Amino acid sequence: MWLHRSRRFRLLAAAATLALAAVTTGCSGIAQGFGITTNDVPRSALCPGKPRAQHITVVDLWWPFASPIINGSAQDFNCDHPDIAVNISVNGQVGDDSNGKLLAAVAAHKPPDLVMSWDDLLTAWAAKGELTPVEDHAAKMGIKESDYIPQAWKSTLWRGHQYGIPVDWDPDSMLWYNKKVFAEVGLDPTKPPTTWAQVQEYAAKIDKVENGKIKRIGFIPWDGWQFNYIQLGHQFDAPFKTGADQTVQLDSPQMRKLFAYEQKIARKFGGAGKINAFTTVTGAQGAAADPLLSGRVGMRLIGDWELGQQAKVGKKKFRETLGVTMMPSPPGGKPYLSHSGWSFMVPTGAKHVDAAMVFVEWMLQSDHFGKYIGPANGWLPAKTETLKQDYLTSDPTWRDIIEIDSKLPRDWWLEPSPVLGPYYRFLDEAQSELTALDGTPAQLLARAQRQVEDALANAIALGVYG
Amino acid sequence: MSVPVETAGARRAKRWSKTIVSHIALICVAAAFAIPVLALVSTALKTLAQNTKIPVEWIPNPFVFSNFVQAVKTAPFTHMLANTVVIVGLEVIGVTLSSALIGYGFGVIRWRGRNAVFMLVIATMLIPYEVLLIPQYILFSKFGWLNTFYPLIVPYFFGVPLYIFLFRQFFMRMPSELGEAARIDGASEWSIFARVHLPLAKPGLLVVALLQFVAGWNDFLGPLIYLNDKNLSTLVLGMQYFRTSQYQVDVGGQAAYSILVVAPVVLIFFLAQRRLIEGITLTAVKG
Amino acid sequence: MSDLNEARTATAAASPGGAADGALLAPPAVRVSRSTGRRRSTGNERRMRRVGLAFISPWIAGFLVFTLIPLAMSLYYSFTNFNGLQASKWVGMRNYVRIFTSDPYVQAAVYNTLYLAIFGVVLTSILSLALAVLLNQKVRGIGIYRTLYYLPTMLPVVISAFVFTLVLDPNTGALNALLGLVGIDGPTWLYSTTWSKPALIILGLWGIGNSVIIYLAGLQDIPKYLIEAATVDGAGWWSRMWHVTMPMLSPIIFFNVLLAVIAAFQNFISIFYLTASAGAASIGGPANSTLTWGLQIYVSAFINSQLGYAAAMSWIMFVVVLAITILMFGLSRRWVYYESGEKS
Repeated sequence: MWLHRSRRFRLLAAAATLALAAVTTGCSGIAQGFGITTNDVPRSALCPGKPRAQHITVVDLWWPFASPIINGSAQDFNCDHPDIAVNISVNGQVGDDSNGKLLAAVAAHKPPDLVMSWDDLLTAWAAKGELTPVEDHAAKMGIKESDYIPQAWKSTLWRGHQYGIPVDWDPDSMLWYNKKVFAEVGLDPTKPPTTWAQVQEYAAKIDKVENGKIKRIGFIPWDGWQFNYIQLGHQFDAPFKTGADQTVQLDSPQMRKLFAYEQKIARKFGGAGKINAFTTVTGAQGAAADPLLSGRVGMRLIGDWELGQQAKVGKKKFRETLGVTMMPSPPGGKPYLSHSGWSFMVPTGAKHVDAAMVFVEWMLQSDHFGKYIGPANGWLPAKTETLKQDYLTSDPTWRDIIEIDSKLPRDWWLEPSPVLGPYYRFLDEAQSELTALDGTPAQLLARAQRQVEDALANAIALGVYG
Repeated sequence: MSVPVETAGARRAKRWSKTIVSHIALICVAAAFAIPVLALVSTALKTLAQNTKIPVEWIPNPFVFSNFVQAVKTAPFTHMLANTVVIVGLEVIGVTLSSALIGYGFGVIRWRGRNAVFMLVIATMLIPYEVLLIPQYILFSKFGWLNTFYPLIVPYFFGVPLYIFLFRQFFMRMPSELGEAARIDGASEWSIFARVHLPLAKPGLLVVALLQFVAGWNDFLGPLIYLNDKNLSTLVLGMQYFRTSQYQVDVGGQAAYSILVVAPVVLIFFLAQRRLIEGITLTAVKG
Repeated sequence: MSDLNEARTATAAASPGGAADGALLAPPAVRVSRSTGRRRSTGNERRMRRVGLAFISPWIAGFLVFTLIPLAMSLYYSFTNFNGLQASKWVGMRNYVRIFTSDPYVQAAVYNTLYLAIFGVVLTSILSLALAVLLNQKVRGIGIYRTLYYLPTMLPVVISAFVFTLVLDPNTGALNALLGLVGIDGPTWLYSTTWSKPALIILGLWGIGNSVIIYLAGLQDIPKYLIEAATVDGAGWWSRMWHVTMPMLSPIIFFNVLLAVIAAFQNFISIFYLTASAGAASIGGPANSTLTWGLQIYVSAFINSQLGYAAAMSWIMFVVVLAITILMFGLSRRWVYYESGEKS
């Protein structure tokens, strides 16, 4: 009995000491937890080697994805501007704020000073009052319209104000193909398909199903860029209308044709469930997780950011494995190339807008963009002068992409509208059910049409649309 | 009516077969319950290459501890541990003392309307947290408590219905004569509570402390909403650090991290199993 | 400690022959109040009321600030177009009307929520009862079984969900491997529109440990003489189960099922984590097959910024839960048997 109690006592004492040790090591966080701000500038934001400036303005930047190189940019920036320190925190879903953190921060009047997010959310957020107009601050920093690709600049405008500074402007939907897979099935790796019929023909050669188990797929039109149905819809010559005149045209004969085509492919492999379970390998990292690079899929419609993988597998291996070309249009369709980009935006209530703009201007200078953003993310710049950067001109794949990009207007994939979000969410879901073999194209598109019209009506009635 | 008489032998055989069937069933179910845990441990001990191999290598050979080392480095482990210890510690103190006090008020002191108010306490358990989530957030933001520990700790100093119920039961089972002598002597109700009933309530305090420790340690929604800053995170929030990109997860690292996070709770469980189960059955069964 | 001794001696003196420890377990002495309708409270009663309220004052304060006020705020928001950022405008019943007429996700949300609630509660109840019955026999190693069954309930929800993304993986998961052993080609679980909900129910089954423990304690509480009497009367195992055990257990079954139903309606985090992490993931799962009411509230609030609408949805959920609770209490008079004849 006594022994038992002493053992428990010893365990308790050990636990208590451990707890105490843990607490003392984590002191700074705990003080902050109780509202005692320490006003400490993170060391990762200060220039190594140079003495700290007397007065430092801290700019809080929420970066949407892990990028090992971006933290280096904060230090580099501080070396050039000792009185400003940029505190970069990776906030996973800032891209679309699907976890509501940005909304919560703005509602609580404690937003970050700067975020980087997708262009298509800009109008929705601006209409909601979540963003601050930046045209004055941008003008002060010498950021002018003539330096940028016109469509990229226009994507940041809404109702007479500018709400973002464009960072990149990328072709979203090009046909990438795996040269090794081509060679394996007897296709010439230097000759990608140039017509729609060829795409289907090559895909059929690459498809491999053994005993009901998928071993390789040639082409999954909806896989790759999330909005391939917009790209292909344009190529099928479907009309998409929204924006100022507020008419929506989701359900059209051309879209139905596209959906019928997609459903045929889905049916061939037993539905999207089986296809997704094949293309995704849980736990795989880097190149192994990429269905195209790993050869699970022979061709893929995706944007230039596929080049972000180049850093992971090496330039030589990347060039040997992947090639890229323009996606051919179906007979009766028209050529098209969707574009979109990310912008720096300033949430409403941000405290250090001017300092944030200094950083934006610095980051968008060609050499900094070329170091920290372009190659790591696989992005083409929105600033025209940056197109002459080394990482683009010296790389054969980038040269191919720029050539593709120059053949067609750099059009934005969809007109701006605060109802854009539900617009593509409904279409996305229609496609999701379509490929799960859960409905016909006509039914699903008609439903999506009704849903978007309804969302628009609701937005107008609630005054959200303006 | 004559009852069919079984031979003693037949009855024994029946009992044996029943036992065997029960055992088999229990073992099967136990195995089913254990499999996810084994999968977790197995994943934690494998490298990236081993984890993505098909066919799956169930028993890692060789097995590595690198995931555990990496897990502690990837997420700011010591900070999160410290934060969690502080938050949960304060929660436990707050909730045990306040619930005991309130339970006493419902269980021992006889006043008109106490049963009706107690029904109200229980009824609040029916309110789905979705209804209160956003208004509470707005309230706390008006207090200036966002991005601090206060929203997680302070509400617990006002009692939790389940624990109030537990303490009420506990105090009601104590003989009502317990405080009589002191009451006759003119002692205040508070001193009777603090000096007579509370010391006797140690088992109840322990159970509530354990239950809240587990609940607080595992709490995800609260810290997710109120702790924005990285260096305020609790351990459970640390699971997010293992997302290497939008769809890619470092499963080995996340598995190892998960094991580290649940280890204290599992340890406490093994040490205090009996008390915990007693406490739970006390609420549900005797209630 | 001296206070305790005082208390012990006081009690011992008051109830001769009763040891202090034993007294702790004795049923509380009941003082039958003989109030005949309304009468003015005596001075003593008023004093006791003040003291009682003083003791529960922390709860009262907390209830007002953290429950009642947010409840009122939430109700108010449900009648506005509140989006968290800009000033809200009163829109009357518009949100509620939209929920019942034109929200495209309501149908799926209702269906999925009901599916998960009904199948989930039925399956978990049957399984936990069955396990408790099995454990109730003098089984060797009952401690180990109890530990194994109860352990999963000690894990944080996100970790349980993560573990199940591993187990349910179509290619590398344990479940499909086991099915493969018996020759079944396992479905794609979380990637499939038909199997995503069953996958969630399987996760729910892992957490029945709590119920098993409670049922087990309840079973052990059933007076042996009843079982023996039934055996003597010639009742077989099933007959005993149906006519003695179940009725005696019915209050516990009732409360457990009620709590399970309420929990099923509120369940959100595990579904969110599972569907947001599987492969080509989207909130709501493949083709919205796991979009539940709670999940749709989250989407309305944090993705669409329609906080007023989300508040309306959450109030509807609240009302439904209340209605079900009242219904179950009403039904309980029919089939729940309380030995002492009192109602809870």
